[in-house]
Amino acid sequence: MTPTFRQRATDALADKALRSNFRGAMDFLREKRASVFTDERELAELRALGHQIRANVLSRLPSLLEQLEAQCQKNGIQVHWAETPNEACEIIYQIMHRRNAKLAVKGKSMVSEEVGLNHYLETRGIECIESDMGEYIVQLAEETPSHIIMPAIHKSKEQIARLFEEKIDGVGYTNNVDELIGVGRTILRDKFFKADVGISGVNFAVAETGTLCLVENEGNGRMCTTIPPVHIAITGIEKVVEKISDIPPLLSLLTRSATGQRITTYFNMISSPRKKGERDGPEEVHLVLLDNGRSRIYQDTHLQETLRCIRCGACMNHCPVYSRIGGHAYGTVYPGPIGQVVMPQIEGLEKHGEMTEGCSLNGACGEVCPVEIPLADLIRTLRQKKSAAAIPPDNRAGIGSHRKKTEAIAWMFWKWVHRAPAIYLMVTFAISRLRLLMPRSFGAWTRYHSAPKPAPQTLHELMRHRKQATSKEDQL
Amino acid sequence: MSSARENILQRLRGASKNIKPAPIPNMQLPAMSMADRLTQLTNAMQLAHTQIIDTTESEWPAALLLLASEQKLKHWLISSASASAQKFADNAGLCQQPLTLTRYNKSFALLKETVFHQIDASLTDTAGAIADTGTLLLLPSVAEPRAMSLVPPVHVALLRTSTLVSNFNELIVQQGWPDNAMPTNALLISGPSKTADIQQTLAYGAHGPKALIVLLIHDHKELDRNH
Ligand code: SF4
Repeated sequence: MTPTFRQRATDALADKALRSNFRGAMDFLREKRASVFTDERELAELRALGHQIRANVLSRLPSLLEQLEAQCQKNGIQVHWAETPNEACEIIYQIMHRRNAKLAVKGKSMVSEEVGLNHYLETRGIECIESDMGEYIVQLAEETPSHIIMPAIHKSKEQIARLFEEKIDGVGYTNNVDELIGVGRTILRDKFFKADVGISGVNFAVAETGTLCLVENEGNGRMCTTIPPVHIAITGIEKVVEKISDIPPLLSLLTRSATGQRITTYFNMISSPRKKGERDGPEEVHLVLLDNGRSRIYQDTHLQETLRCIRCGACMNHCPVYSRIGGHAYGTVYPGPIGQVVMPQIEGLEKHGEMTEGCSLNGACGEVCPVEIPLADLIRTLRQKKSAAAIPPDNRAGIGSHRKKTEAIAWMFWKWVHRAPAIYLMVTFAISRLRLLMPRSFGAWTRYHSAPKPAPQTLHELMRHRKQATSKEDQL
Repeated sequence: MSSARENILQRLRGASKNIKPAPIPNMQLPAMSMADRLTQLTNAMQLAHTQIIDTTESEWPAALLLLASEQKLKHWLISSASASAQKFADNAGLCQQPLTLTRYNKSFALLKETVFHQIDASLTDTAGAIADTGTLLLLPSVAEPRAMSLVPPVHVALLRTSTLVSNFNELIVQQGWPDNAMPTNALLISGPSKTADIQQTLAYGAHGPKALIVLLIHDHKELDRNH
């Protein structure tokens, strides 16, 4: 049986090295972000703008997707639609199969993780190499990313040095970061040189012009989209943006929120495959648009706010839970606050309802989110849904799947008491008089807290006494 | 077409009726004077480890030759047809050390081996730059393909101050997008390739150029200078 979220979180909390790797990384990313958002007013205006641009995209999502498709096709980019991860993988496999491709290089793409592309291609005899340094490290270690922007954030440089020494022929131990990156560069350059296909994600897809925008620092994204003869981009249907003029504010919000950079090294705008006469660039460009539950999320006007996300990772960097337990504890492709909102909606509350409990509803995530997604509200809504009593006939969402009898009875009693003043007074009176009979232990709660001790008198009684005392004083 | 497309669009259409678009707030970014643009560009570029060499239209070839001999950059990849490449070629003989110039005049498949394994540096033009973030705009073309600014370990770019704008919004206006069709590939480049994926330690030369050097040609008019 796979361990539950609680078990994984407990294990992570006990892992000292992991705790210190995350602490260091979170402090670094928070400081970096703060250093580029020094003007509070500008930040507020920019976030409001980002919110509005993304909300407007959602309000016209179906027509913008059609426009994107038409523009891409006009530019020579082939567009494919996939409802499920399997469909997306199969589309990509078929393109590669047709070209007799054996080696693919891949730029960072969380959607490709979401659909499990590497595994799918591997079982069909195609090698798919991750080329982002962090992703490469994670793939070498046979792990999954623990952060959506910095995939290998859970590892220290010493751990990476040992990994390289162990897994790469002819590489000795060095914890010099420049040397380690040099090793990665040499190995991956050879892969770019040989690859039959390049695979990438998309940060923004511009409907008006049919342009795919990629944000990166390393240059591996450019390699994947420039050097191999075929480029396949995969993205979620929500990544569409209406106009090219919407890009500057969104880009600024994305890079500043993600890594505290005013801009990344490369912003790559791809609008067509190699044109006649041009000497490089891919001969074929494909765009795979993935649904995987997004159109279902879209049905609910509140939960739909999830789809504004531009995947910057700031919510996890500022989450007091994520920064202590790290990304793997969630056991999902997307961790942290955005993961707690996305995963239960994509794969159902039954499977991922528990992770919504790993949140103190402090709201730090929503405060830093560049597009003002009310993450804590959404998490609370999902908690309610997972414990709801009324179960709809078509319950793929897993509503009520985590309802506990004792919890339900406790709340029913609470509601009953608080609705009738007479009962309320009676119950509180009884509790205050029977206070010595209170149990000392309340399960999980008293493991880290002392048990609550009721006061000898109820608040109502105390107030009454005070009132009597003051009116006496007044009389004197 | 496929049923996936129809199914997805149908589900979306069913729900999108409930949402109304709202007006997008107008956020005006201040335009900078030429002096401010130059200061901002220089600061931002230095922060990102981009080297800047200030020069003029007549002096840049000499500056480039000096750079080539100082940094021992022998084998250059240059455009098949640009005026800058021609100027470089005309002057190459004056360099302290012998230079090999390879023109990108064949398809990538035929040049791949050379481009990946033999080139020390490339020279390209730029289509403009953003002062705010210290960013170059490159529009690769038939004469100056994409790999030139990507594969060689050193990338030298010619930037004319007259093409410098304040911010990304202005760049979009300058290029006339979207009325002018978007080029095959438009690139914003803001430094040498880098990564912080190993314990947040910054390392340059991840997959692209290890160094980005800008020859900044001061060619804007006096009017702008006094702006
Ligand atoms: S929810 Fe907001 S903060 Fe979190 S990744 Fe998405 S855009 Fe960034």
